[in-house]
Amino acid sequence: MFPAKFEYYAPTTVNQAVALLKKHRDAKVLAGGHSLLPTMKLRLAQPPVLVDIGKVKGLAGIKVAKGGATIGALTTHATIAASKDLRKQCPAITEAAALIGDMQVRNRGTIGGSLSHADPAADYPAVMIALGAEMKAVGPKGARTINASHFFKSLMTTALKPSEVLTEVRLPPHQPNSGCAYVKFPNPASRFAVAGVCAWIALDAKGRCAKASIGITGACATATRASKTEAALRGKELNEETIAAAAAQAADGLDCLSDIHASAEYRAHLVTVLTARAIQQAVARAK
Amino acid sequence: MATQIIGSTVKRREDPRLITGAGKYTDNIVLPRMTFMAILRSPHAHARIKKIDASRAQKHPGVLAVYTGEDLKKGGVNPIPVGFVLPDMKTAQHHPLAIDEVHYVGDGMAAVVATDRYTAKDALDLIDVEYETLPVVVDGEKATHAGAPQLHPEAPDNVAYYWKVGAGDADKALTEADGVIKQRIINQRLIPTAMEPRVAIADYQPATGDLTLYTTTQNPHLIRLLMALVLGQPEHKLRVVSQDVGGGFGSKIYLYADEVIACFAAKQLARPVKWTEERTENYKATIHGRDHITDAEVGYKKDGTITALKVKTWANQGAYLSNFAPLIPTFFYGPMLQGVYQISNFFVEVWGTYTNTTPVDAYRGAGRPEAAYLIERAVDWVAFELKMDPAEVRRKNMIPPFTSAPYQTSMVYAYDSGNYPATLEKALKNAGYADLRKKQAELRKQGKYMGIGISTYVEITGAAPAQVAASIGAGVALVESALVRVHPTGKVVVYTGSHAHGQGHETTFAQIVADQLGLSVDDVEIVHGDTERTPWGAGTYGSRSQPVGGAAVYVATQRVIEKGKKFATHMLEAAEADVVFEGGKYFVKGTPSKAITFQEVALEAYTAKKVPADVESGLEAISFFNPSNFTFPNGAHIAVVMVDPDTGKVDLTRYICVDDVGKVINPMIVEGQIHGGIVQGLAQALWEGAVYDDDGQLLSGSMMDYALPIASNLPSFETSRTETPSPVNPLGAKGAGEAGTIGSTPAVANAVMDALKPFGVRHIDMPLTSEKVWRAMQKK
Amino acid sequence: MALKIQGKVMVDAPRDQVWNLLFDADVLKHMANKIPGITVQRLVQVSDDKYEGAASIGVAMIKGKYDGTITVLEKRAPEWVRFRGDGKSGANWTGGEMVLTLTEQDGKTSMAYEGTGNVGGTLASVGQRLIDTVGKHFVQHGTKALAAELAARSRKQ
Repeated sequence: MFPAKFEYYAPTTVNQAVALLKKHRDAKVLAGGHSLLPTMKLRLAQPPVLVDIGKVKGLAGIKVAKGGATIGALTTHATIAASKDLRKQCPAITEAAALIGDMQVRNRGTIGGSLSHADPAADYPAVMIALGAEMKAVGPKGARTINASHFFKSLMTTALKPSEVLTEVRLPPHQPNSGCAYVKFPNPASRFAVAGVCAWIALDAKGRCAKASIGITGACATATRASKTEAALRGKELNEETIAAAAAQAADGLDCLSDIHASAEYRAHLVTVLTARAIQQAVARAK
Repeated sequence: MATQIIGSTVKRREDPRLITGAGKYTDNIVLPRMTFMAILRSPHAHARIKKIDASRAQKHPGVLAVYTGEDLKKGGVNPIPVGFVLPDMKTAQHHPLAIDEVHYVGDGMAAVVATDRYTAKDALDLIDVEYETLPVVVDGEKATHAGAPQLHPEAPDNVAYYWKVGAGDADKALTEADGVIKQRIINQRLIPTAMEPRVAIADYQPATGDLTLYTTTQNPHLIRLLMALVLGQPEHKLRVVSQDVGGGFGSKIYLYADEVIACFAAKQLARPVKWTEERTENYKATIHGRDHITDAEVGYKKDGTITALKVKTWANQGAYLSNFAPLIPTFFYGPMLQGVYQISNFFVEVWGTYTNTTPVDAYRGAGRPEAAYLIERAVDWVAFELKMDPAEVRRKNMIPPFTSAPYQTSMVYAYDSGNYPATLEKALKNAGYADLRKKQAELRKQGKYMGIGISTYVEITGAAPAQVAASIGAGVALVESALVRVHPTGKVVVYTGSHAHGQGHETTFAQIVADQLGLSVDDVEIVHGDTERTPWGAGTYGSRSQPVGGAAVYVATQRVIEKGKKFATHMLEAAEADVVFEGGKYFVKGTPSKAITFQEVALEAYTAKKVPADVESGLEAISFFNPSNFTFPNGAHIAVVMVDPDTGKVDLTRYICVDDVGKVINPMIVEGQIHGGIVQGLAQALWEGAVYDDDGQLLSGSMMDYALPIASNLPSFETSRTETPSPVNPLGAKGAGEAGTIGSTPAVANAVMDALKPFGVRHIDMPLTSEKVWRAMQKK
Repeated sequence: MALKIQGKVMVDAPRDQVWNLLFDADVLKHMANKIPGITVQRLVQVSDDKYEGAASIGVAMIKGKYDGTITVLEKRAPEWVRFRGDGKSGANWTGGEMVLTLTEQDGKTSMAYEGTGNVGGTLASVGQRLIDTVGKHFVQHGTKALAAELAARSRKQ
């Protein structure tokens, strides 16, 4: 529990943080510290420099408007879980936030930190993919926006460059007749997702599926989209049978993880079960 | 006249300081010139140490010393002994720091002492060790197979001991049985997870030769004795202090290498040395529990009568024998396989084996959970095969009530007192058992799987009659003592040898004294945890504090009352035989109106105004309590679960229990113990399990992967009691600390298996993870 | 935690050339450096069948500086080699054995690999859920990089 030596900087603006990251190539950004600090205490991570963005103003907070919702990178999971505005527009994200780790983790951990860390079993990535969220990153050359579909690259690797800071998450505006839900099967020890599925469903005027967007986390090295299930739902009447048939394809082609808690086969099975449950909930909310 | 403080709920007096952050834990101690120690632990489960080169670490700024196993040996440090010796036991040398070979991941190889914790830790990386890795065995049974890697030359085939116990003729009874069930059953390895990891601070005064060890132990006196033997430090120049301790569950009973090394280093450096265990270190270097592989054969008659139990158990003891290790899978396991049943034919054999894993010793329940799990599962196997109600099979075999004379079991022990049918019937009634069964049938029709599990356990607590303990191999007398000292104002300080680390002695022991002396609980102070202040105590484990330590407090208090009578006799100007003590007052029999208070007597004891010279002043008494028998708490636990057929996830929906822990001193504290016990036990059924890979790497090495129970996953428990006093101590108390753990594991496992009955599943091994349950449901 | 490794890559080069290049420390170094997360500081051949080196290995923030060796245990030119690699970094170690089988197919080489990898120490005790994934990541990238490096060198010859 005693990390190796490191230098510590606490910038007060995003630009200062970016400048520090540019100067110290091996630096790590410290936000809530609930992945980074334990790893450092185990000495599995020994970054020589920490850039603590905790004192940067304006990075925390939720704004819900007609044009969509924005969530500052330093917003804690607990704040997100408790946001009534967010729950109204997008219950999947408040659901996901409420299921992260334990109370202590939710009170300190931040959405920006979690997304940048991109743990394969983190909850948010499934939600980001399903909702088509955008990440705002600020680097030495200014700000850019990355769509969730392109953000999660591989195991703990995102599209962020080493000198970029994730500052904000933007969720698209709520569409009429749409609903979303996040359903998770937690690891009994860590509460990370053994598998987690977020479904976003939009219905057409006849109550059929106009569009489906489904994100999966926990099952593979990186969060991914259940494209086959999405395609199978499109244009369909949504009932128990059609949902089950579509959900049954959710794990097709996935290279699922295997560990002491769940074999790859069981994870794949869970993905199909959770997908069906997430779709059902999303449909119920869309109606 | 009892003032009825015994038996009443008094709020725990220790809680205000503990829950406001004012507890004094060992790691809070800061001594002048204190140094910090870190241990280099083996990342290999089995390896020859070809070379340890500490020269780079020694030169590192801030490092004061680096010690290896050879340094300790040269310094006169002895191997850590085993405190419980079985016949023909093969004890492997357990050096505090490994010499030549390491035997498990976490085995200490070198210690760094530095001026701060960070430097000590940094320097570990600078010690160059060359290993020659050796083949590894982690399975307690496979360790005995031909060709298995050998751990210790003194223990061929990795067998530490072979032990057996029996009664009647098990083989014959199995042959004659209507049916025989053969089942392999595994009681998985658990990692005790106390909230506070271990800490040790050694402080040596060269001028006087005094050594003080502040450590997180459950038994300071035992540690002093063992440390004196290992370190060669004279016992009277050794003081062991254990302040507030954040839980032990058995894991803090033993003398650990780290404490020995800290003491050695403190003597060498003449500076205080602090060692604080990290959690990942704790999971490897502090003992584990359970880990049995068992082949069981159960013989039964068509009517559900169980006629025989034959058991072969491989008890994985880990890389070395920890202090109490050989006791747990033998005397605390074998004879307890009889449970609450009238079974007369047994054969139990136990192979205690060495493997390349963390040593295994007593963990909450210690032997009895393994026994209760096996016999309670076995009863359900019989019910399964005969398609009988498991409650009915229990009724069929249960020992009838015995409250006036002990019940001699088939093996070794005589149960002190018990009314087993009463607890079972009460639990069934509280659960609404018949309705639950109806509901279960309805739900099954809807494709919903509810399970109801019963366990009726008996366990053994309150070790021990000293002579019995000695005859079965104990190294020390398991007696407890109490010194009750009355001050001139009538305030009382009790010096108890029993240590408290969550059990609430400061409340319950004060209740015993206050009740007897007619005082308020606030008039009584309880002192514990310091060998220099308190008389002998063998320790707090095996649910022995109340039946042994509490009994010592009771007896010493009675002696104080008797001594007080001598002063009262003169103060009342009466004959001693006529003086009685009731409700905190002495008076002449029949004239309570002319009473004198206990406080007046206490003052007289130190002022001697009225007593003649031949009455010795002072008012205090000591007792060393040696019980005439163990105590045997029992209970009936019922778990109700729902199993999700899509995922295999088990949800515990109700938990009903009736426990009988004899006479209860403080119902709230007993209930707290039962609650905690139930949670620890059901966590074994559903979630917990240490996982080693074939290389001996502990894969469940942190709370990321070792699944501890979480309050939000549990229902509110419906607890209740029956009270059958024990005749073996004056309080009538039986131990309550482990009962819940012992009863709950089989109740929950039986409930899950009950839910899986429509799938034809008789048994799957714990922990009953979602994947295992889901797979079992696929076989229909 | 042991993980099984198995697969096949095609090398766009004849088998004899592949075989000869396979034991070149420089080839191995270049290959390793192409694996995301690995930076080789040093890799030298110290005897006929032994290589020593140092590298920074990790995924994202989980990184360590490893000292290691590669030992050729058995070989049958130009088609078969069994070797093992061992590395250690502080409280962690990795090790593994692999068999490579080369088969010539129309002037190209099919390189089949099969082996086991092991991880020990802190990594194993707190990171079991990632070991499988990280192992696959390194092997997939490593074998691809090796095939590419071998093909490129072969073209230069």
